[in-house]
Amino acid sequence: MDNESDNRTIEDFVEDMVSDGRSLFQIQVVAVNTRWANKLEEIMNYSKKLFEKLGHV
Amino acid sequence: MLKISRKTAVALFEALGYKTCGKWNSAKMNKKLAELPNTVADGVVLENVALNDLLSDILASEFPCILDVETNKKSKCKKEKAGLFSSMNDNDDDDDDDDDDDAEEEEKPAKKKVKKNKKKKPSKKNGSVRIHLPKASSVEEEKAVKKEKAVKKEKTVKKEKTVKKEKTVKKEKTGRDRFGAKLDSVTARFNAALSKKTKSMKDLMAESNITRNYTDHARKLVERGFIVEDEKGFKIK
Repeated sequence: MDNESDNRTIEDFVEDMVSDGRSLFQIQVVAVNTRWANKLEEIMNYSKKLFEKLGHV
Repeated sequence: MLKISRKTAVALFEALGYKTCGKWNSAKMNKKLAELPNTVADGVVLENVALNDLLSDILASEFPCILDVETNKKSKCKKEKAGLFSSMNDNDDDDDDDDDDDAEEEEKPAKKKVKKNKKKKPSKKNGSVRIHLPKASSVEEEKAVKKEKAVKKEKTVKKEKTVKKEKTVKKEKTGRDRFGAKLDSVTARFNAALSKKTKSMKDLMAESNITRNYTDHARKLVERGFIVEDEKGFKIK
């Protein structure tokens, strides 16, 4: 999923992950093991915000 | 089946915290709408009442809702004002993001054409606007389905409540002794052997029919202030 296209932004990545039903931890694991590793902090921040809005926190 | 205009879908996703929803094409939007029941937790309340109702409708519906391309009112009105009908091919569904922009871009040259050839009528070959009007029967069916779903929901909620109640009652039945040990447990047996007379650990073990040494447990009771430790053994205060 994360290698679908290189044009995706952090937000695209996180939203796709959340839609796939991944948890915060799973998003972190995927991010660490892919090209998103250097943007982990931003990814986690946006993920937390999104999860809060979706009522998961 | 729920049909949602692109504008409302974008508004809904924005309210749910999705930043990039404005960029999604209709295929992606439809996918996200279908996945919405799995991503949104129960009890999420949006500030906008209309969006909140829409969200609850989507979550309640068994079928995934679909983006209704044909109810894009903005572009329709503009086209109608210009007196022109633009083609709405099914293949163009994926390029909905730029619908408004495209419509504006198309209108400018179209207006020029109108000025030049005012007598020209809009050609039907370019396509006609398909206006989605729900049939009365389908509306009734939808209402009936909604009612059924509401009734089902109520039933499931009631069942869950009764199950929870039963569980709590069961929990209450398994009581605890004066020192907090579960009744019918080995610790409770040991606690029962304790009395105001000082008893050695050996005596207590024999009385409660325990083979394991319960000194640690007895010391804990001492720490909590329930019993006192003497040179001879343990006794209740």
